[in-house]
Amino acid sequence: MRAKWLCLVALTAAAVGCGEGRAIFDIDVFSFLSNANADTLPYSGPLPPLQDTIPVQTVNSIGIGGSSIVDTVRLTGSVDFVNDTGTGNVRFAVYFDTLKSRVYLGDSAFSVSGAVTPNATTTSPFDVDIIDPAMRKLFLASTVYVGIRASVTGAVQGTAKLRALRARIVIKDKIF
Amino acid sequence: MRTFVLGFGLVVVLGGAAAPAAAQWLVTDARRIGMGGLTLGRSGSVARYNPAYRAVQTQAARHGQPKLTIPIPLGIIQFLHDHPHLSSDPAFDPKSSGFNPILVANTILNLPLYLEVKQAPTPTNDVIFTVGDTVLIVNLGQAANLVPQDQFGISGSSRPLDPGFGFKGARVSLMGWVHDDAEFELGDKLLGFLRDSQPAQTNTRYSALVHGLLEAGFAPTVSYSGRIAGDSAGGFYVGGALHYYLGVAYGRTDGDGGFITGNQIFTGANPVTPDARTLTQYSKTGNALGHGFGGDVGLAWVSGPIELGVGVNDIGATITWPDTRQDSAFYRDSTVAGNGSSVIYSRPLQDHVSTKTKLPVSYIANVAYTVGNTTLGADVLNTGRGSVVHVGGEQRLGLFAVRGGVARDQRKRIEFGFGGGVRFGGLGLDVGFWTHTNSLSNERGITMATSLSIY
Repeated sequence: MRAKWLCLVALTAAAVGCGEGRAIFDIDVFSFLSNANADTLPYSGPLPPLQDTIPVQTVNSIGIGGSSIVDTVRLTGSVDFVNDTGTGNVRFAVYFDTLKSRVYLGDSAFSVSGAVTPNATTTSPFDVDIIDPAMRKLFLASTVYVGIRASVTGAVQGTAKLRALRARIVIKDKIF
Repeated sequence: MRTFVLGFGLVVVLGGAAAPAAAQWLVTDARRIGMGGLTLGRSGSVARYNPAYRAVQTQAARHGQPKLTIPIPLGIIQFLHDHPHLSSDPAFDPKSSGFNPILVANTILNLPLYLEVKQAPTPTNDVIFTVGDTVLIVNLGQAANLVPQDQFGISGSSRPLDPGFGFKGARVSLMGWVHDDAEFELGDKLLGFLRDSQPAQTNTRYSALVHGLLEAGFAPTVSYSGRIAGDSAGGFYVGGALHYYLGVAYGRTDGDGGFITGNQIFTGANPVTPDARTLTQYSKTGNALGHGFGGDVGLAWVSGPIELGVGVNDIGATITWPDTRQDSAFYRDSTVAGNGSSVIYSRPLQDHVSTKTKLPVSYIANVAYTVGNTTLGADVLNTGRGSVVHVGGEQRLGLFAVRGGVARDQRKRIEFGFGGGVRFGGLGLDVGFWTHTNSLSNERGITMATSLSIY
């Protein structure tokens, strides 16, 4: 239902105003995660690991069907590695899929790493263009599932806190 | 799903463009287009809206008025060249990924009769949708200017047939009449969302007001038009008609529709609830006929080079429909809130009740001045939805004629016309250019009209 609602508003507005222009969707993925308290993930290494993923979360995406052409999918944001102990590297990976059960089974959409030191916070911004056509197509669905995973090298312990994650999706206008 | 959405989008596109469409006229005479839409002579609007003009003698030679005008549809050739396989053209197929509602709307609003020498540019700015867990913002950019702020619609009354007989200015006839009226107005919340990029709010109703009316019938008519002073070279003419309107059928709906957002914009199983309600009234063919009286009056004065006229139609034309059914039509899905029965659509209110409708009063005022080979004129026409003003003229120079004019349409936009013609004996070729804003754009396009005239 909500997919219909978003789709209806989006395409109605686009049909009125878009002409030959582009429809750009700026999806605040972070808001979906933070409202579900899924924007924070403890990390610990090397062994035994804590739970290294969050429960899969739901993001309302565009929902205009697969016949449209996605011109660009760009993911921007930043993650803070709030490190308690140890020196090493933390890798923060983000996963998307249209099937909830498949989110962590495939490759990550992107990952970002940060070198961490004791009692220090490392901020790692990211700005990633998704070039995989299949990955781009995911965002045409009405619902996209998202997951994040943290992995470490070295004996470190701390918390990865997502600060921002936005998806900018540019539709090249075959629907209008 | 996609077809549904695109279909809805197309409806909105056409609806949004109804105001500019209503503001224009489909004219098949390149002469008239060259004069900014001005009509001279006995044809066109003056004879329709001013009963006195039925008695004013035609002065074709003085106005350079042809007996017959035949449009040359260069626009159709252009259109068929651009779209050679119309039935399979993906741009016109809602099921195709290449379906283009903008092109469809522009084609309907600018029927390709004449050549479009300057296309009105449609907005090409990007449209940005900001989506969050509890946020939806639509930024249409400059295209937001196309979202109508005020009530808009299409309405008019026409008299397709008027067979009868007359003697010495008096006439008895049976006039057919049709009245249509469609109005649409976005509610403040929906207007702010689309035009001002206001964020969608929770627990808020987004809606639009809708009004539609269609009625038709016939009217036994007694009329008179004649000269009460002067002679054939100049005089004072009056005209009037009394109609007894008999309504065959009518339907009317007044309501509003939209949706109500939930506690959160994009969460929950049902973030929005459709909500619509209308009062529908109709009297079908076969019910007791509607009835009512109304009249037309007109005056015309011709004195040498000057001609003046004023006409008013459908004065007091209120029609009583004695056998009307009223239904409350609405959409309410109580399953959404979980507090009622399932979807309900309609409920009869009353049957066999009396209701009334009113035909819009139309008026025209015109002036023409002819001296030598120069003719100037102006008219104001109001058919119940704003006045349209035309001012224009024609200068004949031997075989040639040059024309120009200005018009103010129902959107209060100024449009320009210019053109010329050449005449060889009884045959003439005319070309006229006119600006228009009846595309999905606030910028003007230019159409070139061509027609043959037979004198």
